[in-house]
Formats: sequence, structure tokens, C-alpha cells
Amino acid sequence: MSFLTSIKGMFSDKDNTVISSQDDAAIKAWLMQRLAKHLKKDINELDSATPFEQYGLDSMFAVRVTGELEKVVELRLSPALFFENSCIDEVVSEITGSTPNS
Amino acid sequence: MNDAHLPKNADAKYIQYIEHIEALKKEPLGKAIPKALFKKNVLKSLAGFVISYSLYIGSIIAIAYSPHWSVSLLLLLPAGLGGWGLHCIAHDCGHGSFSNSRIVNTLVGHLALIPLLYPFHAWRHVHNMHHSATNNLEMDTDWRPISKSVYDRMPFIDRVVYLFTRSFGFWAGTVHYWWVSAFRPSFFPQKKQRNEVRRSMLFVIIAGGAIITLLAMYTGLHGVLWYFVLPLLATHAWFSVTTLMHHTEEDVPFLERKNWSLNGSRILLTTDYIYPKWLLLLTHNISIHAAHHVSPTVPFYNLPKAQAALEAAYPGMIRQAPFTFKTLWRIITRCHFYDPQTGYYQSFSQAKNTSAEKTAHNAD
Repeated sequence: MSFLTSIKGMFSDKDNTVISSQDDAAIKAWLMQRLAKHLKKDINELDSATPFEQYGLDSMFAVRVTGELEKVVELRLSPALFFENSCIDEVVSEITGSTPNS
Repeated sequence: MNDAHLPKNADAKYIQYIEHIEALKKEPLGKAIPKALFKKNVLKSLAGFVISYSLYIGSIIAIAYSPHWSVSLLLLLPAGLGGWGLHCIAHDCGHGSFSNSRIVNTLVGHLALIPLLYPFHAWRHVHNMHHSATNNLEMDTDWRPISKSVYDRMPFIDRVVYLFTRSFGFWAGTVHYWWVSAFRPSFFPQKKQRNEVRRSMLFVIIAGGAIITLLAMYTGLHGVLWYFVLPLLATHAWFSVTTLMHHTEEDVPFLERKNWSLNGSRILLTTDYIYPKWLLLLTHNISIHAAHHVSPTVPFYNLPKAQAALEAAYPGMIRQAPFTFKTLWRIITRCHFYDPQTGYYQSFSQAKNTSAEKTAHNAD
């Protein structure tokens, strides 16, 4: 049984959050949680309008989170998403405001 | 037009490109193609499938009976052409233009891509990404150039692969795409896509594994190499040359997202190469490409008429050129990096010289 379960696991996704690409509040909440987890801080200490630079985020984080976020909103995102937008609010607007790359 | 989005040294031709792309943004290009040309004829589709499989298998049988390895080497050319033709059939299956039945399209697509060990759904989804972002500098999945500054920051192995596949190893460019996306469900954003890719992977592992095992049992390593691996590489060579040339040329730029538009990419950033009739037949009109980008669901046998209709509606807009090895040579020796200054390409040596000049300038 466990063998069959593990084979099945290879061919299906683990449960992952899916958010509508138009749901700006949910995307913002997901990004805030992800940032808090990365920085090991309480979510209340973070501000969605604070530039990423001030949090000392590196390009590795940007690439990793873009990949994760693509699966959350089920949309292809520009690899430059976190470079062209300076804070969480701008990233959210970019995703919800235009979806030309779906 | 906002000048802030233009490359610093954009020339008049580049600016004209952007203006044309902007002008075409809301143009209903697809309406230029008569509805009758979207009608599918399964017999014609199946004929294409049979022709290409026959060429592929026939060439491999000829290799098996070849008197000398040099003759076998020559026979890889038609074997690869057969494999590439099969890919072109899978291409129609992926766009739903092989038949009206999704099951038939999926089945034939999987069978047609066995010679390439390519999971059909993985290829289909990557190809759709290419269609939705053709020559978009950030989002295209096919032959997207990078700038020298990005290249310099890449890991060593990635730089070697880029250097090789953009120049004399161009024939292996699609092998690299296969490597990065064919067996990687995480490449795809939607859960549905990932699960489809996994099913296709399973099919390829079982069917491809069975073929390679049988070949190894009955013909040994020599058979695996000459009857499967080398024809696969020859197919990739056709695949690479064709896809590279469709959207890459010295004067066909990849555009930053702000300058790019879907319509513009469909008609202005694509080159239709003029093939002899026999090659058109064996590649299922794949070189009639702008019409395909405008309306991907037009079946391959209707593409010549679709191209003519598009040309009549938009005279002079479709970029057509005869296929020549000189053009291929120009592409693989000059179109290496994206040049952010001009918006076009830089060769490896041009980029190196520019970097050296900058370093000298900074030292002064």
C-alpha cells in the first residue's frame, strides 16, 4: 500500500494553495507570509509598501518565490517580476492588473 | 510611443518595428483567414503521419542494411527528416488541428513524439508558452537570447551550454530545451498541466524504455546507437535549425515586454522560409509560419492558402525568404547575445570587445 502511495505521489502534486490571479488581497497575504517565513519575522512587523531592498532580499529569493508564486496563481510570471517591482504592493498590482502572459 | 522604453541606440528601423507592432495591437489578424481553412480532414492528417513514420522507419531499416558507416551517416539525414516530420504532426495534434477528437490528437501526439522521447503534454504546454510570448525577451521559451551581462552572471556550465547551442552546437539547441522542460512538471504553473505532463512522462518511460530495451537485446549497443540515439539527434538537428530560423535573424529582434505585443509577434517577428515542394511535403508546411502563428488551429495542409489570404490582407507584412545555408551561418555566427543598446543582437566577439572597451574606459 505504501509503495503504491509513493508511486502515486510521484505523479501528482502535493496539496498546494491556489489563488485567483485577480484576488489581490489573497496574493498579498500569501506574499507577506512567504516573506515573513523567509525573514523569520512576525508578519505584523512587515509592510507591503516597504522596498524589497530594505529587507535585504537577494536574487535567489526573487527567483525562488517567483517560481512558487506561478504555481499559486497558476500563471506564468516574468522572471523579472521582483526586479521590476520594488515592493509587495507593486508585485500584486502587476499580477492582478495585467495578465498578458497567461 | 514612449521613448523611455526604447533601447538607447535604437535605429530608425527598430523604431519603425515598434510603431508597426503598436499599430497592429488590436488588429483582428485571424479574420483574414477564411473559416473554411480551419476545417480538418483526418485522412490528410493521417497521411502526413504515415508518410513521416514510413520515412523514419524506412531510413532506419536502410541504416541496418547499409554497407558502410559513411552511408549510414548519410541516411541519418532522411531519418531525422522523418522524425522531424513526425514532430510536425504532433505539432498539429498539440494545437488540436489534427482531428476534432481530443483523444485522437493526444494518442497520435504521443506516438509521433516517441522517436524524440518527448512527453507530448510537456512539449505541448511549452509550445503554447512560445506562442503566447513569441520573441518576448522575458517570456519566450524558444531561442530567447540573453544579454552579455546576464551571461557573465550565469554558472559556468550554463555559459558553456549557451555558448555551444547559440553557435556551432545549434543543432543541439532543442536537446537542451528537452533536457530542461520535458521531464520537469514543476516547469508548468498549472496543476492540471503538471499532471498531464506526468502522464506523458510515464508513457515515454514505458514506451521508450521498451523500445530501447528490445533494441539492446536484439541488436546490442550498436543498434541502440544507430537505430535510436543517432536518429533522435538527427531529428533534433532538423528541429533546432527550423525553430531557430523561424524567429531569429539579425534584423528580427526579441522585444522587451513593454514594446512587445502578441499580434506584432505573430506576423512581424516570424520568417517564412521558402522550401522546395518535396521538403514542404515532408515537413508538413512547418515553414509557412506566420499564418500558423496568427491562427494555430489551421491544419498544416491548409497553411499555404492561409498564408496567401494573410498576404492579401496585409501586403508586404509577411517576412519571406528562401532558405539558404548562408542565412543559417549568419545566424549562428552573429545572433548570440541580446544587445540592450540597439535592441538587436551582438556576436560573442562584439560583446567581448564592447566589454573590453568599457573596462578600458573605466580604467581611464
